[in-house]
Amino acid sequence: MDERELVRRAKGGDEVAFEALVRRYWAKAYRLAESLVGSADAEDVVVEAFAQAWQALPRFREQASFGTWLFRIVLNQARQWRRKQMTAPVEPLETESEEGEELSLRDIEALACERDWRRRVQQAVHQLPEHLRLPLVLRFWDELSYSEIAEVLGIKESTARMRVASALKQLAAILAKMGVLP
Amino acid sequence: MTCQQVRRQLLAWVEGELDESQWLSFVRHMETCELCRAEAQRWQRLVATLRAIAQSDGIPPVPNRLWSRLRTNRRRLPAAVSLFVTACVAFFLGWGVRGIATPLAPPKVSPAVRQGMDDGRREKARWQEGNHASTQRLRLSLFGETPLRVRLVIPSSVPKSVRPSPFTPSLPRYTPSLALRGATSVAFDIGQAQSFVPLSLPPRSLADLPTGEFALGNGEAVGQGEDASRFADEPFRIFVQVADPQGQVVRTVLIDRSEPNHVVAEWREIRQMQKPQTEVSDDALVSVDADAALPDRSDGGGAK
Repeated sequence: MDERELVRRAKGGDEVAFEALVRRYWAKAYRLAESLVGSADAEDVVVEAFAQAWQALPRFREQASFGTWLFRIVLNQARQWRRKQMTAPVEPLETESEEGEELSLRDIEALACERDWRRRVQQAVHQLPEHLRLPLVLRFWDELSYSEIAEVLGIKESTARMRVASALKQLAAILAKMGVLP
Repeated sequence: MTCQQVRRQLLAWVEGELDESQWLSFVRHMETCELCRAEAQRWQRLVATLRAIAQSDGIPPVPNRLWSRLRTNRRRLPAAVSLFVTACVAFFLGWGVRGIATPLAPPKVSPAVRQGMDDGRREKARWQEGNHASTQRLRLSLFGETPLRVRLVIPSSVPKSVRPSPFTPSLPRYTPSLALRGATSVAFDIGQAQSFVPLSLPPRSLADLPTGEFALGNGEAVGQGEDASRFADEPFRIFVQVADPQGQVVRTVLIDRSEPNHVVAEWREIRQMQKPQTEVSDDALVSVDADAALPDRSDGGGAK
């Protein structure tokens, strides 16, 4: 069903329609929350965000897409959560990677594995400063356009582009420091 | 194109946003500049990996507790609006709004009920008295062709013998086979012989009503996957959804000891939880001391 129709029905109290929206956006919302609060708390944040979205949906004016509206709620929830928890948003990284020390032969072999490479990239993403991490996550994990990213974050589209570019540049630097990217 | 220009265009390149002439210039520079080529390859690999991560596993499924939250946190209108809407709906659908009580006002049992009455009147009175209000008192007229549908969701650890037993004129009472464990949904129809398809409930909850008694297997309770222990401290928790013939929800009621402000309806049988009985008689229904048997709400948070 068309998303606009789902939103219209959900606004009218149709729980099935809202469930469809939840399923459609769960993974993306989770990725966004995870980038802010880590995987241990991401699920809680997203549950809260969807519960809040359900309550607030009648006030959603549809000037933005449902996705960008929802992501703003997720962001707010994640930030509130962090304030409450008073914990650092980044997940602990393995020390040998942070220090960029020489990798053993076994590590090099492990890094050859695509899965491990992805894990390293995820770790590196979490090391980015938030103002760069969020646009990157919204762009490549949540597949938002630059104009949508600008809307979610309340910045200009050109700023969103610049931040994504800076994020990629820093990401490459972090991975190079880890010794996993030439 | 200079190295500086190429670096500025890297994002547009990995995003595939360069037009043909820009792309040609970009590629020509790559052929001659090893540093820029390496950087472009790094970006390309990173973006591909980021996109692959987004597609990969690692995202937990939507947890049942979210569905539970959504069900129990059905949207409620602000109190004033809610009252107005309720009054309007009551007027058009044949309800009588009996008045507004204070949030923790004890339920009252009318003398007429205490004195007993004929079966038909008693049934009506039981409903009326069974639906005492903390925020609003509603008198539901169950007679005539009131085209309302009511849905109950009963996540409860209430023992079989003391389970809530709502009833309608055509459904005198649910049988013990409807004793449900965990989060459970029950749907029934008032005044119309048509099936009611509850929202978001699996097909096994469908019931052609009124058809007399029907049962949902204990092991097949809706919301079986929910964490029933969440309700362990609650003697009962019932959600009632009233919809008009078009399926539009016109009234939602949550009966939850932890949210006394939402308690607008209770069934007399529920109050007998502290005195389990194998069979709930009509007399017991009307003579029980409601104040004494009501669950203690003081530990459930204040009225909102």
